[in-house]
Amino acid sequence: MAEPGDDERRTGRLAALAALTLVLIVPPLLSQFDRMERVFDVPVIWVYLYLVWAVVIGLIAVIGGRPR
Amino acid sequence: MLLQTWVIVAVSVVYLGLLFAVAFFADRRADAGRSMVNKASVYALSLAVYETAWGFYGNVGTAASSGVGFLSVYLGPLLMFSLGWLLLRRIIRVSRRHRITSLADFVSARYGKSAALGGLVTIIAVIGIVPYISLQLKAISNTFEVIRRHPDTTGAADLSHVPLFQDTGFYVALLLAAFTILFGTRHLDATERHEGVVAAIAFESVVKLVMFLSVGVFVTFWIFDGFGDLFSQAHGAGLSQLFSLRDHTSTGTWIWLNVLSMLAIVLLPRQWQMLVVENVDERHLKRAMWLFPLYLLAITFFVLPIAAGGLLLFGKSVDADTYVLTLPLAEGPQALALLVFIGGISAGTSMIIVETIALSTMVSNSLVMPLLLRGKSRLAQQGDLSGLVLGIRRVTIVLILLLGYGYFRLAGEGPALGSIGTVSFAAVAQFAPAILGGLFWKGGTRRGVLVGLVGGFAVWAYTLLMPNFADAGLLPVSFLDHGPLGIEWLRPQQLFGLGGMDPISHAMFWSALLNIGGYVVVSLAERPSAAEGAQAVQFVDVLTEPVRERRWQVRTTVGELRTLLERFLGRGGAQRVLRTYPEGKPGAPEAEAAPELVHHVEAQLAGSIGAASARLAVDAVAGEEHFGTDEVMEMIGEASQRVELVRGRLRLLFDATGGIGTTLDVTRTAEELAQVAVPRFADYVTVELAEPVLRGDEPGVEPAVGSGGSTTMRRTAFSGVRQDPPLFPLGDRITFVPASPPARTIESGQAVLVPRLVQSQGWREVDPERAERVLEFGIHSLITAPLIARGVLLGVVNFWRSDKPEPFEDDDLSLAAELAARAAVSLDNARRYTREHGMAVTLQRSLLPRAMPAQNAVEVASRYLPAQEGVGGDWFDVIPLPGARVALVIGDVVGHGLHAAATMGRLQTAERNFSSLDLPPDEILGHLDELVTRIDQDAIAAGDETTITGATCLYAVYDSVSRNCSIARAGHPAPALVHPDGRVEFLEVPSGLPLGIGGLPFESAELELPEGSRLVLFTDGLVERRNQDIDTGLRMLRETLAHAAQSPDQTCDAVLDTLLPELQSDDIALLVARTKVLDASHVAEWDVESDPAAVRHVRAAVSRQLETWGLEELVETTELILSELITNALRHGAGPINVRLLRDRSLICEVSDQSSTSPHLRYAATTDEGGRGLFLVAQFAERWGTRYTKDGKVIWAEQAAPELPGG
Repeated sequence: MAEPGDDERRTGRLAALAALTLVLIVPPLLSQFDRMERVFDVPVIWVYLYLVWAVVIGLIAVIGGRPR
Repeated sequence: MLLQTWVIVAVSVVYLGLLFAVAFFADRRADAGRSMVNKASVYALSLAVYETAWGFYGNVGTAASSGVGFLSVYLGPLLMFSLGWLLLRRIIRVSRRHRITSLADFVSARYGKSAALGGLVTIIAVIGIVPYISLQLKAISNTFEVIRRHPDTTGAADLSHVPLFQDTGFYVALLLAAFTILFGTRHLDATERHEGVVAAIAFESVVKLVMFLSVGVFVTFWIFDGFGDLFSQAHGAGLSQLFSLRDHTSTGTWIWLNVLSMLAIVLLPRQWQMLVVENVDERHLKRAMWLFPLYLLAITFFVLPIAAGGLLLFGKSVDADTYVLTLPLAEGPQALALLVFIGGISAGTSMIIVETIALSTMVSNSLVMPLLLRGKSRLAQQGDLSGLVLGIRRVTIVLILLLGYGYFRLAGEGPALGSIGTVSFAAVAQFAPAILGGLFWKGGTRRGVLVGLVGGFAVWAYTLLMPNFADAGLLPVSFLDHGPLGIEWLRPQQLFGLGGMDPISHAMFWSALLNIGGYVVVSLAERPSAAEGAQAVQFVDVLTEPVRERRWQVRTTVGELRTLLERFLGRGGAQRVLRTYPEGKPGAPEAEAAPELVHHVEAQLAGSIGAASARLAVDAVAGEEHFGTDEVMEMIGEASQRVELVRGRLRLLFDATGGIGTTLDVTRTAEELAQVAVPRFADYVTVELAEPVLRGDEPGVEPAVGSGGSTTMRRTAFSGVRQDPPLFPLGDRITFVPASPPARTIESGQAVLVPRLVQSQGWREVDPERAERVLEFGIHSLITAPLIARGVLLGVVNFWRSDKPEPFEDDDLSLAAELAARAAVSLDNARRYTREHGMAVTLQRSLLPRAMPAQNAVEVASRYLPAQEGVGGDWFDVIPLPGARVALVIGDVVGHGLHAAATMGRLQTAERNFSSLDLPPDEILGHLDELVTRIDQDAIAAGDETTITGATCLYAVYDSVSRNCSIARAGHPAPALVHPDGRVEFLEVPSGLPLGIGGLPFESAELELPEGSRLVLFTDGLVERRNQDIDTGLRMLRETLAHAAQSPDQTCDAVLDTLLPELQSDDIALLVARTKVLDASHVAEWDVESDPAAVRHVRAAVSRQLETWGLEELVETTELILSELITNALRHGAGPINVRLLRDRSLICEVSDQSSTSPHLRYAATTDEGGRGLFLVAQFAERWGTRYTKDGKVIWAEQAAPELPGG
């Protein structure tokens, strides 16, 4: 079992990540990418949301997976 | 042709068969102990039950009209899973620890194991989810039709009119019911996990992902030339909806859908089932936290491209919801279309299977079982119940599926079903305040949740479900547009005129407001109960607090627990549970079950039938749960509850100290004991006392044991919230049989607790018929405590509860014992006082004249009233004296109590003796004074401290012939004289000093009283008060006497009526004598000359007089007596001799002379000449004697005479 301190730190980091995610996926930040433009020919908002999604998943895996 | 109907059906059946096989295989592996699902990845995949057929097909449809708006439903779960370690882990751990098997169970367990909450949550879940199930059936049925009709395109209209028995949805529903029943309700297990189902769901998750990705790759890279090409074409075609969010999805909807999906990923029954219930290992969550969002990312990745492709290829000609199927159908290998169809089936079936399992568990455990087990129903006593539980679940599964299908048929086509997913999300989101609040806030209460849930659910139903019904054509559309009955401000989507919002935001605003508001406000307004508080700590501190099981204080045996387990889990299940008891062997069947074992059994049972049901079931055999105060304190964490409890008890004890023992009366003290505990501690209190105690006697160290070891006591006091319980009435003698609680308390000297009277055989035995009536009356719990003082048992006190639902518990025992101990001391004091007081009163009464002696001189009446605080030394006397006279005496020894009473007795005896000497009053007082002085001296010599400090006395002699009254007093209040005309005076009699002081001799006052005067003698107690001047008392007495009626009796009554004080601090003696006068015709008198011959004349005169009085038979003896007395007087006396005859009650002959020498009775020798005179007189007279007067002496003799006519 991990140390209680570790556990708390992990919980805190994950909660902070959740807060960050929330900020990223709601207006006004979201609105910045909500436009008719395309990058690499694909919709900006589509790329943006999946990018955020993928990064957050990666961070969860990193923060949650590592004991320290 | 590949896609013939039979092929589709065959493939579908084969697929479902495969599913059966997977589930079967997993179950076999699990039974063999090699679990397949004990892997983090399988756990993560099983969570993908979130992706339903609605998502599988509908996402593309949504994307086709509003671009990436559909992603809100998938980003919410991402948020929730990043909070997983904070939130989900708590839920999982709490559920594991409390064997929570459903959402409803969780809510019920969190708020004091409330059955009502569990039922409510279940009802909301069923109502919210059934339409969602019909959405799945619709998706499967529609796609089946689409693929069957290929190559004809299928319009929406074609799908709405499929006959029942051609409808795929119907058969799918039946098939799924079979699958669910087979794998979801195989057996009843304490963990309520279904490994086969989990494996099947994980398998299906892989299938639907692979199928969807295949279509995505096919569309993007086969039909089009990659993403760039696809979106360039779309951009060129002006499909702006694919590129922008804001034009088609409002910010409010976007945010609310994120929030709703975030909550739904936990609160949907199927998600809860997979996430919480089927979780094998908490650590699996760690991988699921990123793997599950990744799965969602993957399965949605191609949604937008597919939507773009569909729009580019079909435009509006094909329902966008079917693009996933129609694109491969139109453009590619038909096998791919078949695979997509399979993917859709797998998405739909997995959702339906898990959802129905979860709902059926909720319905059976939180709705049906609590109802069946309620009220100690016979069911709890019945044999095997596991069949019943499983039966309920199977029926529920079928019913839910048929309901879902029914709604599908009813709502038919149209937008109604499409939006129902969001509506369901909103329904389960109503649980969020109760569950999330309950995890982090200890203050939430059952009532708060109840109010919040009902409010939120009502708003949800009104603002979301009703409009959905309206869309489906089940309600008129005018209902939406103009409100019910045309009331505009009640329009469901613009409630109270709150417009400008999209329906979801509007509904969520109102329901969240009511739900969270109700929950918080009601919770804050009240204090959580002990049970709620205990559960709150268990839930909120689940991560920090070490596992600490609640201790039970219940009485049951291991055997009873085993029987209970067998009823619900079967023999094997029961054995498993007992084997897993962590504390080792549970013990022999007849052994008392350890509290830990009871808890273990309840926890295991909770896994099968829910927390509330398990509580009820265990209660039925083990009695209700008792929180000891210590445990409550530990569990609540805050001392407030305890402090309140202790304060209440202290207050009760304080009141008891002040309220019991205010008097020295045994019965009154018992009544005070009964009253002080009602209604705060008990609803009824009865006190039984041993009979000797009531009399003030010592009850004996050994209890009064009757035949067969039973004890008899008398019910002395009762107090209750009502006056008519069928308990033994006051005054009854009750015989306690040896096994009864009072007999046990008497034997042990300890208070005895009977939490449930129903179960007390011993108590019933005392009076079986009455016991039944008492139970029917509702009295259910008893504490009996002994009343012991100085080691001596005085009686018992019984505390009964009827209106208070909670039975007495161990903690109440000490309070009852404490109350009884305090009361016992007071009772003993009262008993001793009763005894002492009784003895003194008896002594005093025995000394006072009981009946007034017969005499004709006065008519008397007397009263004696002992002081309230004890007897005193007052006395009075009426002594007939010879010569138609009477002596009236009244006296008062200073002080109270036995000593005063005893001294009074001595003085009274002496006064009687002195009176027989027929001395004048002053001399008698002189003798008494001497006596008192000597008593005091003796006492001082003996070292006795309690010497009398004095006594007062008044002595009066009244002569009914001469109407002369001679009075002397020794410090006593002067008597009052009421003249016949009503005039009142206090006689001027020389006061004299009190007895025992010595000093000046006493003086007599002589006065003549008219006939009918009333002489009133009294002690100071009558006129003296602590707070009142003696003159006031005398004035009142005077006024009373002036108006009192004539007879002495009436006078006494009048005086006491007026003058008796409320609190009588001194005793009171009152003697009223009304004087009479002996009629002159009854008196005859002669002077005798000093001549022996004169005797003859007198004799002749006397015999004439006697004849006149009709006393001829006394002539001879009277003549003889008189001759002797006159002869004596002539011989020995001096001065003139006088003879008097009095015809009173007797015939009195008196001979007086002026000498003071006293004659002596002699027994004359035979040779003696004289000396025989007095001897003869003594022979003939009844009594005779001498008295001295101022002028000499009188020798008198009395002879019995017939009553005077009319005398």
